[in-house]
Amino acid sequence: MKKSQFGKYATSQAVIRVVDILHPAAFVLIIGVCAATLCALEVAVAQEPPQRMVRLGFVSVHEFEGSKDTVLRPFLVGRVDYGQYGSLRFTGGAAQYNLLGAKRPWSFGPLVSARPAHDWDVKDPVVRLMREVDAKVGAGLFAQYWFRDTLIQGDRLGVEVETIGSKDNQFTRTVYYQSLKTGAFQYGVTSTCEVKICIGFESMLTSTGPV
Amino acid sequence: MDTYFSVDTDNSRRTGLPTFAASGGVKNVVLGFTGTYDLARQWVLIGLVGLSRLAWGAKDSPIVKQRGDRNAVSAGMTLGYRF
Repeated sequence: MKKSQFGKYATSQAVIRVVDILHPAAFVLIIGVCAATLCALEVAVAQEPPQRMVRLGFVSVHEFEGSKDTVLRPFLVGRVDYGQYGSLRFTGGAAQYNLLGAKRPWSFGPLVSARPAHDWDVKDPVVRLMREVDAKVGAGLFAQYWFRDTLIQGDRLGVEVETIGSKDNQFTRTVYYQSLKTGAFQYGVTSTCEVKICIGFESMLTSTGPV
Repeated sequence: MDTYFSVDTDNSRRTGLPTFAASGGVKNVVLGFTGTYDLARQWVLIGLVGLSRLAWGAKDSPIVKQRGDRNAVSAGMTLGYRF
């Protein structure tokens, strides 16, 4: 076995071992405990006033992850603030409820997210022949922190962590998705124009036990 | 990862793709850009571009290697209303 192949094998084995040792449910718990601990330490920082916003448009996305074909889909985004009672945010097929008030740099709460189907209507004639994967709804937690006033006035930097679990009947396993996003670095080009940049990665883990 | 990137014997027989077992781990790296332009007091135009690159086990899947692309670009435009 070549050294690079061995490296990949060893890394894969390490991930499998971590999943075996730490049941994926532990990831949800760890993120929850971390967020709760940090929330206890945080000092309330004034944020922008409560607002409500709805956005509707279209987005061109790849038909499924790894696909070379793109499709145009409607895209709905919304946010409703309830002041100290938190805020609801929905983006495409996901919705988050921030349990913390708007006057905090922290956001933390439950989320639900739809996992797209992978079925007979995909464009690729070969992938179309595969067994269908039904759309699923997963539930999980999210935590987000905005560093305020640390950069140039008007800019901000944040860290967002999400974990979602959903049952996968096809493989009789539970699939956990994690998402870590750094940013967004938000920069006001002019008083009416703003640019936001977000960098992150997403991972998927599968539980070892049956559903 | 199995759900979207593995090819088991049944799917291999259906499609002719080689079997592949995707391991869990980092799926992809993402980079997103969002531009916001205030049209009026309550109306806002938002453009977004996302770049995604499949990594680790996902990029080696025959679904990606033979039938797809590990790089993905998404783009969109939305019109927002603040109230």
